Amino acid sequence: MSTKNIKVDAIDEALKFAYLSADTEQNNIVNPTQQLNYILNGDYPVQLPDELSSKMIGKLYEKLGVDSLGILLTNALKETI
Amino acid sequence: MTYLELIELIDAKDRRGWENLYLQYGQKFYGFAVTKWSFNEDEAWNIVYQTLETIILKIGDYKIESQAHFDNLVFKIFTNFLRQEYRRMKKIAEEFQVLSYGEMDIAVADGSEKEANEESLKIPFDKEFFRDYFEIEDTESPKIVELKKALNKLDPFEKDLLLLKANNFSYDEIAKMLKVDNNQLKVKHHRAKNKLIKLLQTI
Repeated sequence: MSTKNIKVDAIDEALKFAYLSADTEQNNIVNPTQQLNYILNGDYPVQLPDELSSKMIGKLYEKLGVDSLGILLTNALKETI
Repeated sequence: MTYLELIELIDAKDRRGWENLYLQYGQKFYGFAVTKWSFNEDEAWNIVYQTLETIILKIGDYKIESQAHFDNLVFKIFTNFLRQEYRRMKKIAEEFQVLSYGEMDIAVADGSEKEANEESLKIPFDKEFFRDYFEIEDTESPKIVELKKALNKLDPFEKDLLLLKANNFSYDEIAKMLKVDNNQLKVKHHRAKNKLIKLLQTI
């Protein structure tokens, strides 16, 4: 993202900040379910290629879904005791 | 897949939970970040990765009681990473200029919405404000709090219109989202923006 020499509309830009912190409990300005639906129902011409999608899922699963060697050893020890 | 099924799969460390989380949320978040927020592919990839990672880590900490509760959590996590990346990118930006009231996209076709005394209308967000905003982390700027107060004084339709347009959705897309006719939507947007600016003078 390059913002070099860009003219910004101060209100639009400030609205972006308000949106990005829209969920703060004291100053809630949006309904999160509604906003999430807007995002999820949007048609976007850009999609992550299948290869990179698989890479992301694989990386996340490897990190969070598969027990580490330490946990596997601890569990194995528990079972043998 | 419902949120309960999704949580159950993730709790059971079933890979289908990861896949469905990506398909239901990650894919759209990526498109939204690139198309509407102009992030490049690497930045968008990071935002989505961190969002999904945090959702997976956090859902075990909460007793999720409804779809709305789940949506709230997902939206909060996503916008948090979107905000972090946006701040980071803007912070390293070299130069930008802020439009004056007269240059802003507010006037309607006949110019009637432009006030004769436009000089007296102050835009409370100047270049200094934006520089500070990108430098100061974690605390909410008092000016953004004021903006939120002003937004909450608008009609819900006007508020949604302004926020969706700020998100770079087109008038066609907004018309579909808000289930309204596209006719005059641009004029309504300009009027809502003008109304917001006037409200900001009074807060």
